[in-house]
Amino acid sequence: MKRVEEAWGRGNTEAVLLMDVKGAVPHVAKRNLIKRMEEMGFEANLVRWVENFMEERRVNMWMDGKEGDSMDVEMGVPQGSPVLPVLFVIYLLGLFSRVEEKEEECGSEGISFVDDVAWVVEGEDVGECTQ
Amino acid sequence: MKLWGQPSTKALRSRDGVVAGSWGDKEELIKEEVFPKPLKGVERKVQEEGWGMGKTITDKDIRVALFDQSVKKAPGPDKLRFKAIRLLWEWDAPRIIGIIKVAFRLGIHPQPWKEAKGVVIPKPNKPDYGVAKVYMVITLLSCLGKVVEKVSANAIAEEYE
Repeated sequence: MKRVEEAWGRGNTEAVLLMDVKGAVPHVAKRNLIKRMEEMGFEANLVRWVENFMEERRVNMWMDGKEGDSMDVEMGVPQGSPVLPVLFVIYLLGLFSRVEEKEEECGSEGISFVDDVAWVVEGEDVGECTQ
Repeated sequence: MKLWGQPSTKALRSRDGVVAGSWGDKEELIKEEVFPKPLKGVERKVQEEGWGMGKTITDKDIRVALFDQSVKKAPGPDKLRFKAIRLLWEWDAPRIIGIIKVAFRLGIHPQPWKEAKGVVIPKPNKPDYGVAKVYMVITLLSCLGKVVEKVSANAIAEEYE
């Protein structure tokens, strides 16, 4: 908010792009997440634990008070797990770093909370912001 | 609010317009909607170096991970709530610590903690309850497994800093 008021003070417009990464949590691909953790230099044991944690997951569906057979879940971080937020941030870092390179050029700023992301940029008018 | 145990989920239509009326067909449609399948690709080669050289998990790390979590959380398939695990901690903390340390040393999350209960719940205020996407699945995991997951989350966050 402070950023927006300062931009107005300079007679400029502040544009905010809000994104919700659609279906993000169930779509986390184990391979990409593990690759990213290795690139970032996380300890081998921790990476191996995460890899094992994401493998061979199963779910028993409950609907209308009746339980189904156990079924494989082939991707995604289980929603409700305490490890989900950190893994998800690591997963999205690849995307963010690419956008951050652009940020340097146009002075925009990204704010995120798990899968809700906001990009803020300042310009003379709406047209300049969207560029 | 409907009572649990009543057959309340309507027959669902798939994207191709096929009607799923039986419990199993409805389950299959919701599962497809909620749990996607990965694209096929080359399997990653497991990195072999560094085996057993992991960050040391301390007793305190485990204690913090257990007592940080709300006792109000719903239990998973093993039906053990955090209250029960805290009691277990009072009785035999070394046993809990032992299991968790070994899991990290070996880089393994034991299979029982990877089995979740997926409770199907309709999202509120949707115009059409005949399609799978208006249902969500609440994943209930084992609370003891969540202690391990919390230890891991804290370790990852600490290493990232």
